Amino acid sequence: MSSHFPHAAFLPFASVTPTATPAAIFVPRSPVWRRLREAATYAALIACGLFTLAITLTILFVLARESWDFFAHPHPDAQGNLEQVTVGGFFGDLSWNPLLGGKKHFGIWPLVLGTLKVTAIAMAFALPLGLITAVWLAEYASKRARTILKPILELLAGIPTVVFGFFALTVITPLLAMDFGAIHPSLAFLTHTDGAGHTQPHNPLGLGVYNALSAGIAVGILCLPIVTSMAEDAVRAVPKALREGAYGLGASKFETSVRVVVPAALSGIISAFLLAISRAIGETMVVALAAGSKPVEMLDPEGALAWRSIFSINDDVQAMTGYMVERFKGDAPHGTVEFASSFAVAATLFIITLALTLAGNAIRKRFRQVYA
Amino acid sequence: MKNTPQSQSPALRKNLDRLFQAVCILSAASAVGVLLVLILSIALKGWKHLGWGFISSIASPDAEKSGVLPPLVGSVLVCLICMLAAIPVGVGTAVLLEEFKPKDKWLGRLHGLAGVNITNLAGVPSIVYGILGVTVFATAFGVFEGSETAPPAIGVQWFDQYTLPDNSAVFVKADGPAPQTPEAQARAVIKETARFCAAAKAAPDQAKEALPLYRGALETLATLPETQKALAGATLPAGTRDLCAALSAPAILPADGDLASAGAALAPRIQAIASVRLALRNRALPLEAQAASAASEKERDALDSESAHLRRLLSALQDDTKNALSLALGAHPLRQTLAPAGGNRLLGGDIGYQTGRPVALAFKSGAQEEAKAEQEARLDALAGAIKDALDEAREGERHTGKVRMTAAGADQLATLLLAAQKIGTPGVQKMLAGKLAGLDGAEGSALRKGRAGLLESLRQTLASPAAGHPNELAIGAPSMRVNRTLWYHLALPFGRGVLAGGLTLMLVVLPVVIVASQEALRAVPQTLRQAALGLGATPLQTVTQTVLPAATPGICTGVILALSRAIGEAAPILILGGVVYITFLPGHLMDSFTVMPLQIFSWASEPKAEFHELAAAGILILILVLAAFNGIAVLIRHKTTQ
Repeated sequence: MSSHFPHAAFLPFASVTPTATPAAIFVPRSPVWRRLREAATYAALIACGLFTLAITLTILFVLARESWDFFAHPHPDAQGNLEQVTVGGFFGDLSWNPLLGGKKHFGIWPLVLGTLKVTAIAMAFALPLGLITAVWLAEYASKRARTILKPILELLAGIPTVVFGFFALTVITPLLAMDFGAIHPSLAFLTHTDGAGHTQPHNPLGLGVYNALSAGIAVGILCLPIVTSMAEDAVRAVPKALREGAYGLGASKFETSVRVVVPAALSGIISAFLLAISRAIGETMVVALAAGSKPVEMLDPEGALAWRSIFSINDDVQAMTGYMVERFKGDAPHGTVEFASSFAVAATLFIITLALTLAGNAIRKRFRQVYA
Repeated sequence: MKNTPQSQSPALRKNLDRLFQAVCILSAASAVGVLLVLILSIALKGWKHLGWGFISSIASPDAEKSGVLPPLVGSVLVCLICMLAAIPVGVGTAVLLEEFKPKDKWLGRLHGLAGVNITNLAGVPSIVYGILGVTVFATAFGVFEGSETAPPAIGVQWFDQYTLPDNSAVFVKADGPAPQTPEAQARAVIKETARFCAAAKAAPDQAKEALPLYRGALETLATLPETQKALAGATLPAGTRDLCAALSAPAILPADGDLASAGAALAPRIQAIASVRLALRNRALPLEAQAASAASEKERDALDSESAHLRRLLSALQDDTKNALSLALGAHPLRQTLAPAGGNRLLGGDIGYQTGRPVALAFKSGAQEEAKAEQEARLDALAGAIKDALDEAREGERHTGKVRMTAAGADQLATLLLAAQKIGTPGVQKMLAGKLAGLDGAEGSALRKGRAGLLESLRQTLASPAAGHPNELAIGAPSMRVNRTLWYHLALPFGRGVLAGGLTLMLVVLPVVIVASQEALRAVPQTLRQAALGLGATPLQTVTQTVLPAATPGICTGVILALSRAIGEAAPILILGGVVYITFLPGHLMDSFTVMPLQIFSWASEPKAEFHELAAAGILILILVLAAFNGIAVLIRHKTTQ
């Protein structure tokens, strides 16, 4: 077995001190023993590599098996009635109502829509802020500012997601539902007027206790460090020569950053965006705590599309992950249709995030500018 | 080419530049601001709870006395297992990917695939890893017979940590005119229960205050013969499920109350549950018999589904009861409880089978001081419990064709038997020997398997040096459960215990460890490798003795980041073990557990502000731990880049 080393990254690594002196390292031993040991170590390394492949295969197998089980035959619900869900019903029905009422509905779209609402709000915050911060860190910031900001971003990235859920529930929502007029009279225009013309001092947005907006903002905060660090890496990877060329042509720093550096780093930036989106879609605890547990009602009682609730952001929404949490912590007994449905939801979630990851990889590979 | 830089005036361009800088600084400052607001708001909420008392006590309905000891210890143990598993596999994979790139075309492709796979794994939502953990570690794909460990009965148990103890029995009158016949009255009660449960879902806050009263009333009502009749009637009354759920909500016994009152408080509950179970079972058994001899396929299916429904109700009652009683019994020796509770029959099946250990321990402690006659009476009860447990397993096998006796059940039964053996008179021991011998003759795998587990646990219990030591019987402290299984106790499949939790988290953090290690390895200068190879080292020697030591600081940083990810991860653990209320420290690798983020989640999802404060205090502890981790990582980075 041979090895070669394709990475020619000669990074300054001054303090490298091998723990033993060369004389102590290479003590000649019996060649057979040495070869055996080498073979064993190499086999162990290969086993590690195969293990990571096996994880992916097992995820695929488990989700496929459980989803097949869900669609293949009827399951009893918690009341003991048998319920058969078809693939057509899963993707064709616009209503998700697994628990209540006589007729159950298992159409995935309301859950997907819930996830999309939260993700869209999160990205509306995280993507611009993250990109701008990344550009600033890479292009403008002094070394001192970087040494302050980077650890803060790292700490923000390390904070458990359940904390952001708690933050959304107990800080963001009350903050957004504040009586602005009481702070200063000039802010009174923010007070909410309901249909009958009464002004409500509180809650200009009509936010519920659980709502998509706060959950989305919290998820956005959570994604911010990811976007920032990955986009910064991409911006940093743009060679200096490009910047110097732009300066030489008389461009200002702003023009260089926005018109030269960012376009040059676009593939990395887009893949950072995709990663953040997929992270937001898979985010669980924030959604479970702050977004509520009512699937979006896509149809009004007459059966027409209910646009208002489809686009509203101040109501309860249930995301895919939120539904899974509710099932796994809730009272649906094992083997019932309610419980089995969470596996089909998990499979949908997995496929969406996998597609985003693959797309991110493909974009990075396909559009990467190679600067020799 | 509109809007080229040259087409704008220099002043405008300069201003644009300045404006952009201002926007940049604002957006960078927003990140800092958010972090500040987050930490400040949480610190203000949780500050007053922080202290040694918070760290060293268990969660309780009284916010002042509540604490995080079990989840904290659970978090530490789970993270330890997670890192022990993730570091070797992660670093090994990184070394394979970075240092050994095969020249062979196909191997090379596989190698490339493994690399791409890592990025995919990093993108998988952690909740999906939770599902993987349940299927692979907790149930092992259901390969092992009887391995279908149902998820823990969370709802009821969970409720318990938010309900202050109150066992006063008060009758609650249903609205409307009084029903005429006793049976109709009982039906009205069941209906009322269903209504209450629906209302409780809508307004959990108010329901919580009414709940203790309700439970007391239900306990009394469930034992009435009228209720039995209603349950045995032609159709099962609507709301029976709610009745079962409400009944199985566990009682909290005062930790320091005397035994007589504890027993008295527990007795009506055990009686109520037993009588409802009896009624349901009486209903289910003939149905099963009918189904077995049914003429048509259709008829049999109908009967089967009806009896399956009943079985589910029964098992729900049993699962919840198991938790409720083991909590209550674990804290209280059962000396006085058993007699008022109604003797052998009640010990049978559920209690004997499910809570064997505390019962047995109670018996054992009782044996040392009680009169012999009383002892024998207890031993009769014990024998009844053992017999019923075995019957239950046998019946379960006949009914489902699957093993009902799990490893844990066998373990408990073993403790029961062991206690009986130790304290028993020769006559009882003979009887037990007969029972064990009878197991040999029993047909079917359930009992064989049950027996294997039984003997294994017997062996383990006997091998334990502490077994039988009187100090082991300190059952008084409510926060500590008596656990006589050694810490390395292993069973396949792993179930929903600490080991399965750690391994599931390992799956979550593995990509983090691999990517960080890869980067650390890439940062090692090529010259080092070339020098080692030039001195005659083999590629492996080069890696282990030159490259890895040089990459260690980078790997350490990655590992610490992975650790902070692992300690904050809630979703996979929630999927694996549910949001449970744990009052004890995990005693062995298979023991159930909870972690900090889950306890925080549980507190945060309560509507009451006092629990939000507890959640905030828990978060503060978590953030302090994380900040310490981050500090170490920064320190390592600082040292190595100097």
